[in-house]
Amino acid sequence: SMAAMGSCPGDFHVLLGQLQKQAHAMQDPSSLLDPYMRIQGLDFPQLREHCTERPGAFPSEGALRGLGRRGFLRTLDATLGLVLRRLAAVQQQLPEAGRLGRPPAARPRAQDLEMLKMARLNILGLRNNIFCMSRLLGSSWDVAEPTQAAPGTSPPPTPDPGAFQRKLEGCRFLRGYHRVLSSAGQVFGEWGKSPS
Amino acid sequence: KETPYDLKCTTNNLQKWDCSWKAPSGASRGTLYEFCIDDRSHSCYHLARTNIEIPALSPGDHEITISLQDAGSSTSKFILNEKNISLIPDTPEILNLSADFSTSTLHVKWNDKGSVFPRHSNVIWEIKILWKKSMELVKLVTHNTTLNGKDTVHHWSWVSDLPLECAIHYVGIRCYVDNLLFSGHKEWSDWSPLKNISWTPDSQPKVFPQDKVILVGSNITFCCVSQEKVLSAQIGSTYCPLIHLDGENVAIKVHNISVSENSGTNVVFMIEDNVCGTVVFAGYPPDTPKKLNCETHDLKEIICSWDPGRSTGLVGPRNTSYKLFEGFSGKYVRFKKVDVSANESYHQLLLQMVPNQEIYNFTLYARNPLGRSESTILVNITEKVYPYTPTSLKVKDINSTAVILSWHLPGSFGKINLLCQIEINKINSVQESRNVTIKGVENSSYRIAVGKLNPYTVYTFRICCSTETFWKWSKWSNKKQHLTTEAIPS
Repeated sequence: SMAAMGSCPGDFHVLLGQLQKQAHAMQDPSSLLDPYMRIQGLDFPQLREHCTERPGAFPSEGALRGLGRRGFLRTLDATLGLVLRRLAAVQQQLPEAGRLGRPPAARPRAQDLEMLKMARLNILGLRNNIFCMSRLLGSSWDVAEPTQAAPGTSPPPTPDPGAFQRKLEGCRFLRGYHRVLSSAGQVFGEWGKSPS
Repeated sequence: KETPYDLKCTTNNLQKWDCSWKAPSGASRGTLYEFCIDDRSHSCYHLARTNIEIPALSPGDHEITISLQDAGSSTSKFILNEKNISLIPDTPEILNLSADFSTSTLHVKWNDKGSVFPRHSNVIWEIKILWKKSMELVKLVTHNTTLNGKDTVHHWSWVSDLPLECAIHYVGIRCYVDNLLFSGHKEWSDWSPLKNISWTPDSQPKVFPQDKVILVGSNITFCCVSQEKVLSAQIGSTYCPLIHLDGENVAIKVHNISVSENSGTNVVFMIEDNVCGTVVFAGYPPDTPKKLNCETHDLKEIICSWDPGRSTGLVGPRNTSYKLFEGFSGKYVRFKKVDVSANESYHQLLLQMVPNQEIYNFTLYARNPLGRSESTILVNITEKVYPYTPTSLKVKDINSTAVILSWHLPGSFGKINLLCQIEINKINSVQESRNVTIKGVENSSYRIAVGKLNPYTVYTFRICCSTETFWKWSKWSNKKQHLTTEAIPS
């Protein structure tokens, strides 16, 4: 289960186990990308094939591995910060799950909205454990604001591409997010084999 | 023919007549003619061409003589009457054609050159709109104006069903002067030179209109401006037949659009290994706010609540915004948050009471991108008091058969009377309820004596209040149990 917000397990292996479990759970597209696509009406085969990770948007697994533990944790935390911002933007466009006084036919499935909220909590939980791990590794931790994203992840401001393009970009972004968590799971897995 | 023939006159401004005739056979280019009008001044003109501009002649028949100079008897006579004249206005000219792409609106500006016409005339303008390089007619409309002796610039706008970015559009204009006093034949002018407007596409395919908000049930046309071949198009999950425009640009027509998902309905065009799209938000204008009610708990803050009615289908930045306006004080408050009650979604707004103002004339304005509505209510707020729940209920003995109840009821009730219900329960006995009228106070603290109790008996008290001009009872306070004192042995 995810670490409670704010508390830090003192044991490296317990914490590492939680991080691995979280990364494994959150790399599954059904946890965030799929509900996002349903909410955004992108849930079609021909659109799915266009929902691919944008090259350079996120660090590759090799790059993550090459960062060293503290750099890896900082980059992962910054990436998660970006995802939180993206989720907040999406949720601003949509009603609360409970405030759906609108024709049933047009009502997004309430559970998809709930899954977006759950994903946010999971991210907060993972960030909390990342913070704990960084403390365990003895690194000073000034909370990396989302703007300090991993290299090459935040494109310069451009004119409004339009709602559809934003949806598609959101989709590509989350595709990348799941991939990064899958890579993170791999890297955490390798930590397990060599404690330092 | 041996003499000048086929005299024809037209006018483009009712002030001058342009006459021309055919030269007799054998007449050389430099032949001189004498053109005479049989009117009071018997004016004659000498010219070396077969056309002439003369002042408009008065109604009635006029004899015209055209003779070849130095050619003896080569003379023709004609009877000229306004009835034989054709009024053919000058070809108009479009001063400016502009487009507002965001609203797919063409704006046409032209000058009617009314100064050349002597009298007020009705003018019918015909405006034609063509599109695509093949110049297909898409619209032909008439527009009526009146010439008033001055040059007047006219404006006309047209909203295209098809986004203007999708294809080049051309506009032409012509006119017909319907002067009621002119007895001759009236004809349309020639069409003006066409002006065109087109959007400069960039390299990336793009769909128009972008992020449109429209009424449920509308028909709408989308297009994809693309350099590459468009393979298919769909709205939501429904495929649509492609309408081919210029080049690889295509359009789709959607009829009777249904209400959108919260995130809008995607309109997607599939291209070779690319996709482009837009989102359309089909919804409703805001319903007239229902059950608008304004009340106060404490005569300090007014709470107005209402049922927004039918959902608009629009959320986020397209959500309905509300503004509550109070007519006497001019104050207004904007709607910020939504409270979801158990059974229905209702909205509420809070605003501070205006000192010494009891009557409030509220208008609630609702507005979203598709329209607006409003509701009004006139209230005397002192008659709409729904007090808070009484709290801190305490019981204090006066004697064995009487107690003092005290409680806290927030509110500035100094100018009104309260009506409270005291519920008195005695174990194994009938519940008793007493109504009392109490002078309201500003400091929210109240106390009242309750007599005719039994000594040494356990009572349970609770209290709720309203105002003398009743609107609503407050909720019941918490219950307070109390054992009355023993009677003093007599």
